[in-house]
Amino acid sequence: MITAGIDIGSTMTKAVILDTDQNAVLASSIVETGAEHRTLALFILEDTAKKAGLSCGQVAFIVGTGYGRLNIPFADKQITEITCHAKGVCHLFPQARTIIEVGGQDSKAIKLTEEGTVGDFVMNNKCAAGTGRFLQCVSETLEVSLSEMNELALRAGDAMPVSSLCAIFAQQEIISALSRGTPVEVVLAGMYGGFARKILTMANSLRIEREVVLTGGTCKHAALQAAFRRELGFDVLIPEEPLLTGALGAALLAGKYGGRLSREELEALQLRRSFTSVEIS
Amino acid sequence: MSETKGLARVNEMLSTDRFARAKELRAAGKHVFGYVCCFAPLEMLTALDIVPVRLLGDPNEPQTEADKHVETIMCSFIRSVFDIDLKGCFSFLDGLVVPHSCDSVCMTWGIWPYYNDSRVFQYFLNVPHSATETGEELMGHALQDFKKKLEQFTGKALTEEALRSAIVRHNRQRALLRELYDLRKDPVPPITGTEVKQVLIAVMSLPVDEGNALLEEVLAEVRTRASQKAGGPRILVYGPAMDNGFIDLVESCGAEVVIDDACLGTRFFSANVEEGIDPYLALNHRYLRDTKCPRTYRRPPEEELAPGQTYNYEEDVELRLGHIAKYAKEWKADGAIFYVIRFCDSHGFDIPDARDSLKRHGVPVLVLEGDYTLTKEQLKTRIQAFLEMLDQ
Repeated sequence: MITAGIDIGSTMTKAVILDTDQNAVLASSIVETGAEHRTLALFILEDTAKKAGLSCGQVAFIVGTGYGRLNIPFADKQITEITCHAKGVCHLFPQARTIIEVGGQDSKAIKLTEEGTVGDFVMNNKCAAGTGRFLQCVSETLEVSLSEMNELALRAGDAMPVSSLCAIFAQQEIISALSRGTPVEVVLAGMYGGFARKILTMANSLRIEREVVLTGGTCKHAALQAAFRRELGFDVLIPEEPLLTGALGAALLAGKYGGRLSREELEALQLRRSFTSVEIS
Repeated sequence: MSETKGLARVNEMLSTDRFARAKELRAAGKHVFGYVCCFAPLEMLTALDIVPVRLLGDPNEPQTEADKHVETIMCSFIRSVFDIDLKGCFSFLDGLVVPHSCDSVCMTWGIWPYYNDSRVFQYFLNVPHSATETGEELMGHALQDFKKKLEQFTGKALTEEALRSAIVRHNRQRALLRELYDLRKDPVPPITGTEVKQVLIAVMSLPVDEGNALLEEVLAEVRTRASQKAGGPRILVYGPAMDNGFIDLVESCGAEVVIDDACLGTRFFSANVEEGIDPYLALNHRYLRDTKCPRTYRRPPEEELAPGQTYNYEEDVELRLGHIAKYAKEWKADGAIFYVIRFCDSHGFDIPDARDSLKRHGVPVLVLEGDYTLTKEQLKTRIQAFLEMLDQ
């Protein structure tokens, strides 16, 4: 069966098309989210299907996830990103027991059972601290691109402790450190360290167990990966594309739920699904 | 008085003015007192023919008046109650009883009468914070002082006979509420958590006997209801008042709320006032010792310890919080969701122990924190993910 997972995150939208019989990812896409979720959901599905040499109509079951999951009018089921990330990560790393996901506007830790299901989870619930949004704020303040920030921090021999990770207060702390003459790379190395500590404090309420997998777009920063390794004191696993585990999990779960339906039921679903008349609400 | 009955009456009360009947009684010359929290001894009011009505907040009303006088780090529930009082929502009351339920309520009381001095009777009931021997002694004095002030206000004596009768009628209400809750033990509960919450609010807005009559109608109606469709995971909710739509939100995500440890819930009725002993001692025990709310500090009695023996952590947790796991077991909850209003230290201190205790009993727990005004979308993802976790 051909299935699709679409993950509309706060910052990035991801899609995966899967052939469940071959257990193979046929194609995937990543685009920026923007404001028009519904148009975007259709665009990314068409685009990913095309890459796989398929049309939208050939996809048997579609699962939507991410905070924009309700804005995918043609999805057959909505599942939260927590369940989808767990499914995607377990598929890639069956030995995983803890997932740390740092997204654009939230971060979460998921504890996995030996069967690869969600045992417990925790999400940041107060502010932008410990999310990609925080790094964007720092990048804008320093007028240093995100990729440059990453490289500078990796080069630093020393790290300045950054105590506050409130997106606003940390910027003030960074600005005063710079005005005192602290080199920017030392400030940034400290910031990544504090960032990892902040998320690990939250994750530790679940009692972190190995193996630990990092996912989410923000975890693409090598400096953040290094900070997590340093703070944990052991190595972490990172998927080839950390942005895609949610969409992959959604596509896998589409296989699970679609697989429960008869051929007639699946055909009826496809007839009901409309790819052309996308209403903007 | 309204002609509608049972759940239709409940709906009518909540969708129009739940105080309509209380206002009618006030206009007819009866005293109507508002109270907050679970610690006002309603029996004493009923005994003097005063109608007690429970004050709650309004999560949809921006707290524009209260925020002129209190900081936003204050409990957003009591701020809301204070706010809508300043806007005149409770202007029909001629009395207000504020027990020292928690520090936020106490300190709000500290300024309350200055900003609204319209009520003839305003009373702060000094309910102690520790269920100990000294606490019990203080509670005894507090109840006697309350009695004296009520007698002065009404010009009537609070007789033991009237008090005993009030105790019986309020215990009857508790028994009816327990019957209603027992129906939720069914594999397919005939009444939702959202409906139960509405029934509680309606009952708390009526004189005790009218509340009891309404409860009997509701019970008869619910018992004969056609079987409802099977719901999702069975959930225990834990937290403060929760009149803010939280239970509705959990059920809109596909869960069935079957039991609670909450202020607007079991804490209101789970313990009876003992009949047949000195009524003031019975009230003392009921409100100080037997009402299990995180605002009361309790530990195994010192006198039961052998010399040199210290408290055992597990026994301590069992005494304070063991009832939550018992509820979960009796109502066959698949999981528990805690909702704490931000800055609520009473609940905050108990959460790690309550969470661990439930987990030890094999009940998964989701802890959520937020304001009295719910940030629904953010909470929804967490609740849905938790329900998916229970259902995988």
